[in-house]
Amino acid sequence: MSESTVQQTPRRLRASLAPSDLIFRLVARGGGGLVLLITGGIGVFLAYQAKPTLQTYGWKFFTEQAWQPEANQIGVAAVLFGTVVIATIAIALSFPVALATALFITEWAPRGLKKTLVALVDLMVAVPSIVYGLWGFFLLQPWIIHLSRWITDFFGWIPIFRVDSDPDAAIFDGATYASSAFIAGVVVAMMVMPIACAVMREVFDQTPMGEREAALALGSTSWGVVRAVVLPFGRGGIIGGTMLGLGRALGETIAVVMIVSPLFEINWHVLQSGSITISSMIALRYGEASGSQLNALMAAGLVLFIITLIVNLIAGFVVSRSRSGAGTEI
Amino acid sequence: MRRPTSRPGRRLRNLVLALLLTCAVAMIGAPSAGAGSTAYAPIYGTGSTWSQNALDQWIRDVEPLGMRVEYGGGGSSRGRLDFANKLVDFAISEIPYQGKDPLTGADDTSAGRPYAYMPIVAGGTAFMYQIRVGGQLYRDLRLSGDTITKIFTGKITNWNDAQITRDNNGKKLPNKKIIPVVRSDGSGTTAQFTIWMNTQHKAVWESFCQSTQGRACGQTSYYPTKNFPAVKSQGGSSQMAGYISASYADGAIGYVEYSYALGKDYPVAKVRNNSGYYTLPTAYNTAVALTKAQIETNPSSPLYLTQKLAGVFNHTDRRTYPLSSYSYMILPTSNLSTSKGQTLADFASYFLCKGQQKAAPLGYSPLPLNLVQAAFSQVARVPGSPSTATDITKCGNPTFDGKNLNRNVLADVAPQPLACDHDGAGPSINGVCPPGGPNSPNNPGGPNSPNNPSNPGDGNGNGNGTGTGTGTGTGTGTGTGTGENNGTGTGTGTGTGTGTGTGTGTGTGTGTGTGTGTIDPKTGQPIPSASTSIDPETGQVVNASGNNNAYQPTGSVTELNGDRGGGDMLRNLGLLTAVEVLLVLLVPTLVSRYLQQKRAGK
Amino acid sequence: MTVTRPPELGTENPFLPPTDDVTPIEQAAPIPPEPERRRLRVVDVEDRACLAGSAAAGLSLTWVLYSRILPTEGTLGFIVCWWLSFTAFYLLITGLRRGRVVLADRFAVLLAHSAAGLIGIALASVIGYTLYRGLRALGHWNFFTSDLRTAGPLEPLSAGGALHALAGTLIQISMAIAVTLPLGVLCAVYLTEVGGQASKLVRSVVEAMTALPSIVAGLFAYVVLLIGLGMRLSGFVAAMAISVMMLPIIARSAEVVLRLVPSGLREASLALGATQWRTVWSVVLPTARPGLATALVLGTARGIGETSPVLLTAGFTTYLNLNPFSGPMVSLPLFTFKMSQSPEENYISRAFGAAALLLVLVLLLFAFSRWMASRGRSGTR
Repeated sequence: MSESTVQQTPRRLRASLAPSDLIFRLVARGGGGLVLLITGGIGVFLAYQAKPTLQTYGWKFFTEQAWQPEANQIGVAAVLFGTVVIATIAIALSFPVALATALFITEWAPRGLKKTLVALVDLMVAVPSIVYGLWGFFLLQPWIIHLSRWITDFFGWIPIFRVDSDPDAAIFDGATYASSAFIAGVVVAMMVMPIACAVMREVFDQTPMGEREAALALGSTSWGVVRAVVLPFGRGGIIGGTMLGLGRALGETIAVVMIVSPLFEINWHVLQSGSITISSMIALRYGEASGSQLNALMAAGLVLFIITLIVNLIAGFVVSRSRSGAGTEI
Repeated sequence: MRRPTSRPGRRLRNLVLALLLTCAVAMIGAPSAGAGSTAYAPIYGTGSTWSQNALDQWIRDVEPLGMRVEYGGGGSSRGRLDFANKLVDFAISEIPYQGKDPLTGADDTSAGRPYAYMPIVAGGTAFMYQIRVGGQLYRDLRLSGDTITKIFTGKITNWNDAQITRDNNGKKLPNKKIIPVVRSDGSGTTAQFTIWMNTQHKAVWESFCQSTQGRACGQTSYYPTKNFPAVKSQGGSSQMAGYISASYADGAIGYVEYSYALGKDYPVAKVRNNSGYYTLPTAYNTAVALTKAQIETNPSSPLYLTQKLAGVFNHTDRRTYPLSSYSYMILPTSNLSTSKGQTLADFASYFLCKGQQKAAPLGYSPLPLNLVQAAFSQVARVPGSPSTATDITKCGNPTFDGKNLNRNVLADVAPQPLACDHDGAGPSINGVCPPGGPNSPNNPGGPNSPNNPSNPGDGNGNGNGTGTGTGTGTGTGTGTGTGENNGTGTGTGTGTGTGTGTGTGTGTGTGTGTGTGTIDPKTGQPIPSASTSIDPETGQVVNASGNNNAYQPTGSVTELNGDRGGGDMLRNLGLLTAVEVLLVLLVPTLVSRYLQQKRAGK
Repeated sequence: MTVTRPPELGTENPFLPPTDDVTPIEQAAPIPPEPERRRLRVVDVEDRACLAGSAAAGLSLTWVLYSRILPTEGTLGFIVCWWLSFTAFYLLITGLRRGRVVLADRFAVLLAHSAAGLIGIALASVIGYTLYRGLRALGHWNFFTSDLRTAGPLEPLSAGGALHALAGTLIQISMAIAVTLPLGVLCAVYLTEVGGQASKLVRSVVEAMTALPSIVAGLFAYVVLLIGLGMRLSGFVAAMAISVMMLPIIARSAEVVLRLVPSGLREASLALGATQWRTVWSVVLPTARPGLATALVLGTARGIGETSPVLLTAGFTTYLNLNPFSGPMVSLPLFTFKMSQSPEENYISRAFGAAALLLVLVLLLFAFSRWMASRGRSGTR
């Protein structure tokens, strides 16, 4: 429908559009425009609302740890740190498991089981985060704090595993280990794992049969096939899936709210209680925020959105650039 | 390839149609369902979690009357803001709008929405804790204001701290880390607590703020947690109560309204009042304390009916619970539909009168009648409230006196604290003074004793029996005490004269107030109003003879159990053994394998 | 096992943010017949014996060392140690019997199996625990038939229920679907059928917005609708917040699905003289129907389980409220969240009951989407 005249274009077929088509196009354009308005509007609105805060606090907004609007101290350093820490823990825990599971499903799972397994993983993606939150709070937490203590006990010499409590104390100091970034990270890992796994699995599935068989013909074991063919082929999927999981982990709200004890400070001791993420801060503070505080929350939301956006863009880029996509057309 | 058919298209259309229909039905169906029953309209509010338990109870009470009140909680700050944002019909808050924040200039106002304050219920901000001794909850903690302030500012970090031991009259608590729990959201409970610290223990509080926050905090709705790593934050009263009662929170203490502790059946600390007694935030004690609340009485003031609590904190009545306060509803005085106003007004007239009867069992304290009366005048400002004045005297409020509306009957009949709840006495065990502790309870004089024949509960008996002034007064005091308490028991009062025999008899009898009469004779001296001299003795005696001495031994046993000081050796030995087992298993296999290969190679 | 089978039409999972748009194109390509796959591994008796023996050896060694000799305790530790020693034994035996190449292979296989087992256990524990704890509340019929207006924290589970949350969920999600489905499909039609200069912008914006964290969507609705436009907390605002979150997801997956429709069909229709509108309505959309339905259902599953946008916009109530335009309205996730914050045992049971209900709802939606997808595929071939 573009009016630009290009050489060697085929003859234009439609002299004029039927009225129904005109309306159709109008409506479709309108729909597209509306969606653009709504979705784009959010981004613009966020940026617009965040502007006063960013102007007022400038760079200090990114370096200040405290979130005390009543003391005029507002900064996302601590929340950003918490967000990244929890997401990192989630990815660190879920990546190996997701990768191994994806490989299992594509390579080693019994034939009859494969479909079920794929469905199960997809199902895990669909489980609402509140369910994971409940599970984490009521089942996992009372139990995993002992693991936390164990880690502190043996790896306390690594600074991040240190805890401000004597692991050999007479009475088990559970409260120090509860509500920590680590536990939140484990729960988020549960949510991220199926996402990453599903993407990886899809990409692994597309590994060209010819290359697999070539490797087998050369006498490699199944692990050899994986190492030499599947993994290189699926590298894009691995990275992309992990990044997608990371994007989800960064934005997770309710499970984190349920588990961590809010602490607006950079807390390097991941096993120790107290952390905060941007999304959980919004969930906790929106109700008491008016005027400039609400703007500050929007600014924090914008920061989170931009980070998630970048991560997702990178993921999409990696996946589309890798051989994974192109390789399927043998 | 797909066969293009129109069937799926129609399906799709049907699906969409069905969805739209569902919505439409929902929209149409709902109002008719809502409007059908009464002229009431649903009202919605948010705010304080401090008073939420009472409110929830009242809401359920009025439900059969066709009133539909919905309450979302969320914290006082949230409630005030929601009200200002016109998101709610009413809000509940412990503190009034604070105006402009001096630091940020952020508004804490109603944003122009006209409102009025109305007290809804009184209560005590309690310190709920979990200390387990030998697996059992320790229930008799006593704390002075100074100790509390130091706990919540990180100055006292262990339950075996000397100052806590002193508050508990020498009873040492186990060696356990204190986990102070505070509210993470903007909270009226935090505000009440910090107001109290800011007026009563300003030095400690300010030095804490200066050192950790680098500024003065004053009173604040947000507990300052910066640079205070030991503290745990929880959003909302019920979450705090949940955290304190969690399995891993042994050693935690936090501040909630008394009802939350009652609901969980968890103990709260007895707080030392200005006359040296450690009291619980019961309905009585709160009512006594709040007789000294300074209420703004100028109806034209925007702060009409709000409270100033300095007098409460310093009230010298020995029954006072110092952290008592009122909770307020913020009522809209314009822009409210008549049906909503009607609902709000009828709801208010329920909970100001009959509803107050439920306050005490829940862990709150009913409003005195003068406040009820003033509250009704505020309700009248709500658009749509019925103009008929409610007859206060027929209200059903348990604080009703009949002659003097300003008097709170509860405050008059409130029982005296246990004698052993005084500084340097006791501590009481499960709310009862240790039996057989001969010397303990003679100190307090119960000047009000004749006042409460109506409720001679366990505690009261004690107070009465002991009689007034130590030295000479004994004779009279005992006289009354016996008259009421124990028609049966041992005639006790008579024994006071001298007979030691009776003394012992009653001691074992464990009758409520009985112990009192006996005690004097045993010492032989009614003098010991100077109780301090006796406490250490009593403490020991009690520990040696009474059943309560279980505390200390178990405490130390757990410590010993947990102590792994000597475990290193065991662990090393175990490791050695493990390595040995592994070697025994592996070495022969590997060696034989090696030999085999060597042989095969040859 | 299968050869590279491109993902079925419409199984694009909207929970997963966009991966790439290249792959789906090949859907149209004919799928090569699946070649018989050679059996790569021959598992003989010795291998099985080796596996069983290692497990037994690991168990006994762990029992001796962990439970008897070392000052260690705890079930978890026992299982982990068992697994470790089992792995060690297995690798040792394999290493002794076969070469290093086989050792690596076995190790990888073992790890993959263990990881899958771990995920299986995790999933089973999440679902099983929720259902198990929820049973106490679900066992009472009134849980489905009454709301919570008369049931306080101390009321037994035989009084009050989660009907209001269930109704709220259904109303909110229906409204969200009513908004997002036409808009999303329209947008997708615009992107695939109409196109033009602006479509690139629209596409990239929509894709970017799939990254929008749900809490930010909620905050947006809170600020714009509640604070800005002065609406009250209600089901409608919650539905709008959910819509804001779902719209990019549905639009994007609908677009992917529409792009899979072979252009030959379109051209055939146009060549027969149909207008573009006719073509879209009678050819493109019906062809893509199963895919659209799957995308919609999975998007719905995502929207139905989200707590954070609802948390900010719906308010909280214990009453059944069927009117989304007035008064607060809870949904199942919000109800679960609020109930789980209470320390009272009965409220926690109700939280689990609601969570189990939600889980069942999502499972049903999920099964429905699978069914749709499989039906769609079988119908075409």
